[in-house]
Amino acid sequence: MDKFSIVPNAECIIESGKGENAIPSRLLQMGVLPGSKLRIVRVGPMGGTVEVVIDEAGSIALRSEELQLLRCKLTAIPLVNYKVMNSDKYRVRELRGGQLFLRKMKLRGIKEGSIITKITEKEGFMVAVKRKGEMRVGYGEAEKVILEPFKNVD
Amino acid sequence: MSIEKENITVALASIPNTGKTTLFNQITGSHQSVGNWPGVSIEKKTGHFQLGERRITLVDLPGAYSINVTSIEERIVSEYLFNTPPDIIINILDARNLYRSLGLTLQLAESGIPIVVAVNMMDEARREGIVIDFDRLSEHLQMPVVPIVARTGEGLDNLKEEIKRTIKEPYKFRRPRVSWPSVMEDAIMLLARKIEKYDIPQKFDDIFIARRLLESQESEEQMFKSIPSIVNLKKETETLRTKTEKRLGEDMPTACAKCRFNSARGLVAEISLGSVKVSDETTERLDNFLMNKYFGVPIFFLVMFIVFQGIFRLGVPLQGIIGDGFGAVQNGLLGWGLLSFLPEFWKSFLIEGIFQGLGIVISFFPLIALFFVFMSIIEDTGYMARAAFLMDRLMHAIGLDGKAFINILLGYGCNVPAVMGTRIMTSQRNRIITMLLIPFTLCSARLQVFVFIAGILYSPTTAPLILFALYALSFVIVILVGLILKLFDFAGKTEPFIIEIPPYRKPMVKTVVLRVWMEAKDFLYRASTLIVVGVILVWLLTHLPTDVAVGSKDSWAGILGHKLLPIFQPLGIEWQEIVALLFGFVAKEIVLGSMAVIYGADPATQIAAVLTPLQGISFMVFTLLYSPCIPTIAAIKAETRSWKIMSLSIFLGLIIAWIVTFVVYRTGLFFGFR
Repeated sequence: MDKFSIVPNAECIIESGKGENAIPSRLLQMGVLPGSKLRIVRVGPMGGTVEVVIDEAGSIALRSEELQLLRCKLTAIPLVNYKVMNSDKYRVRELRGGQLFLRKMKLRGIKEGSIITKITEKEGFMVAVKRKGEMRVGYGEAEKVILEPFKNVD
Repeated sequence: MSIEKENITVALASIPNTGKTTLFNQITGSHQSVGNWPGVSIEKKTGHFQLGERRITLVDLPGAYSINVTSIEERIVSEYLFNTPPDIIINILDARNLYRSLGLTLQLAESGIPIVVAVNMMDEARREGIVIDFDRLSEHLQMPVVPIVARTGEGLDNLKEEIKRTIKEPYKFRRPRVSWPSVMEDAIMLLARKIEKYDIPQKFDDIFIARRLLESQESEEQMFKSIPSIVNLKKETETLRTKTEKRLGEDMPTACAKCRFNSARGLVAEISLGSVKVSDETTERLDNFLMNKYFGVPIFFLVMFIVFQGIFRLGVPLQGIIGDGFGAVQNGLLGWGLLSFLPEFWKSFLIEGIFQGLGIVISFFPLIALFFVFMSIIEDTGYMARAAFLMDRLMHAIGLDGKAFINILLGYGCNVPAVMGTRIMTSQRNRIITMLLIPFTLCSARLQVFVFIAGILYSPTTAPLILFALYALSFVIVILVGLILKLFDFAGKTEPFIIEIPPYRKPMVKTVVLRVWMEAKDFLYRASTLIVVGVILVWLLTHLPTDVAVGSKDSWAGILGHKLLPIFQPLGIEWQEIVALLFGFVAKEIVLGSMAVIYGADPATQIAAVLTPLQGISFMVFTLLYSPCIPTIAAIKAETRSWKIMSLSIFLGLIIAWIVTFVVYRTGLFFGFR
C-alpha cells in the first residue's frame, strides 16, 4: 500500500498475500485472502500506527511501514487526498458525516453517486460536479467525501 | 476404539482472543502449574481436572492462527503437536467469528488426533442475533461440537461429557472437506505414499504429514523431531514443492490458506444465520472519542492517572499498615519470653532475617492485587488494545510497542507489579526488554529516599528541582537503555506488530477476582523464596561476625564497603553509603532506615554532616539506577524463569548506575560544585 494513501477512510482490495515478509503471511493465516477489502479507520495520534478494518479479520492495528509491504489496489480515497488516486473522473462513493453534513452537500448537488469530472485545489477544493457545475468543498468537508475512480461507459 | 491410557492429555488450541485461558481457568480451577515452553521464556500452563475416575492433564497452548509458523506462538503449538501429540484437542471457536476460527480447525482436523470443538462466547453471539446449527457443524467436521460461555461456565458440563465420550469412543476419523486444486492433491498423495513406508506414530494421518511438509516453510528436522526418518524425504519434498508451486502459480501457504478459508466460508454460510458485524455502533462511537486524534492521548493519561491513584493511594497505605503490623509483631517477638532461650544471634536471624523477609513478601500483596484489579478491567473492557494503539508510536522508536509504555509508566509507582504486568504483552522479545527497562523507573520507594535526602541537603527551593531532575533522568535512561538494547538486537528481532482491536465488553467480576487471586498466588509461590533468601543474605552480611555492631565498619558489609571503596570513590560515595546501598537491595526504602543504623545516630544531622550536596546527588543517582530491589529481581526471575535475564538486569543496573553517576559527579566537580 502506497505511503500517501494511508489516510483515514481510504479503501483498497488486498492483491497479494505472498508470504515473503511477515505481515502478509500473518494476515493470510488470519483468513485475509487476496480479494479482501481493507479500510483505514484512523491513523494514530503520533502517526506511524494505523487502525484498519479488514473483511473477516475485523479491526486490527498495525504499523504504517508494515502496511506498506502489502500489495493492494486502491479503491476509494477521501477527496482531500484525491491526487493519490490518479483518475480522470470520480464517483462519490460515500459521504461519511451526519445529517447536517449530508444536507450541506446536497445543497451543492453532491450526494452518493455524483460524478465528479474535475478537481482543483484552491482555498479548499473546486469540484466540478456533472450536470451541476463547479462547487466549493472545504478541507474539513473533503475528509468526509469518499471518492472512487469512475470510468466512462457511454 | 477407546483411548486405553491411564494418563490422558488434553490440549487447548485456538486462535488468539477466543477465551482460551478463561476456559482453562474454569476447568482446572486452582490445580495449575506453570513452566516454560522449551527454548523460549513463554509460559506453559498445565492443569488437572477430574473426569469420573480419571485425572486428566490439560495443556494450555498459546493462541495461534495456524500451525504454519509465522510467530513464536505458532512455532510452539506446531512443535508441541508434532512431537508430543496430545490424546485429545479441545479446539475453541469464537461464535462471533466462526470463519476466522475455522482456519485452524480445518488444519487440526487433518491430523487424526480426536478433537472436541467448543464454540465460545455464545452469550455475545446470541445478543448479536447469530444463530448456529451445531448439529450441522458437528456433522460437517465429524467432531463433537459444544456451545459454551467460558466466562460464566455455561456448557462446561457438556464439554466435559463430550471429552468423556471421546475417550471412550472417539469419532471415526475423516478428513475435512476442503476442495484442493488437483495439482496439489496429486503432489500430496505422492508424498503421502512415501511417508506410509516410514514408521509414523499412530496418531497422525499420512496425508496430514504430507501437507505439512509441502506447506510449511519450517525445516523438517525442526518440525518432526520425533520422526527423524522424515528428513530422508527432504529433497523430494523440496522438488515437489517447487514443481507444484510453479503449476499453481502461487506459493503453497497462499494456495492452502485460500482453499481452507474458502471451505470455512462455505461452512459458515451453511451452518449459521446472522451476519458478523465487523464493529458495533457503541464501539465505533466510543472509539471516535477514546481514540480521537486530539483527545485520545489526554484521555489515556487521565485513565492512567486514575489507575495510578487507585493502586498507590490505596495500596501504599495498605502496604504500610501491613509493614507496620509486621514490625510490631517483630518487636513483640524480640521481647518475647519464649524465644529468650535462643542465643541473641539466632533470635535476630529468625526475626529480623526470615520474618522480615516474609513481611516484605506479604506487604506487596495489596499492591499486586490492586494492580491486577485495574489491569484486568482495562484488559477485559478492550481498552488495553486502544491504549497500545495510542502510545505505540512513542515506544516504536526504541523498538517496543504501545503496551510496553503502560508497564513502564506503572513502574513509576512500583516496579514489582509493573514487571508482573508485562504478561499483557504478546511479543516475548518486547516483554523481556520491558522488564529490563522497568527497574530504571523512579518508583515510590526510591522517591521516599530522595525526598528525605533532598530535604536535608538542599534548600526548600532547590529540593523540588532536584527531584524533578531525577524523574527526568530516569526517563532519559529508560529511553537510552531501550535504544542500546535495540542496537544489540538483544532478545531477538522485532516482530511484526499486529494487534486486534476487540469490541468493548463489560468486565465480569468473577473473571477479575479469579485473575487477581491467581496472580497473587503466583507471586507468593514463585517470588517469595527468592525474596526471603535475598533478605537473609543481606541480613547475614550486615550481622556477621557476631561480635561487632550491626552494619559497622567491622561487619562483613562494612568490610565489603571498604573493599569496594576504590570503585565507588570516583563517584563520591563513601563506605557508609555502600553499606546503605547493600541494605537497599532488600527494598529501596530501607536505605533510609539502614542509614540510621550505620550512622548510629539521627541520620538527618549525620547525613548533613557527612555528605556534600554534590555527593548527595551522586548517591541519589546511584540509588535510582543501581540493581533493582530483591522483590523486583524475584519478579523478573519468576516471570522469565531465566537466571540469565535476572543476572543481566542486576548487572545492567550496576554498570549503568556507575557510568551515569560517574559522569554526573565528575561534571559537577568540573563546574566547581561540591
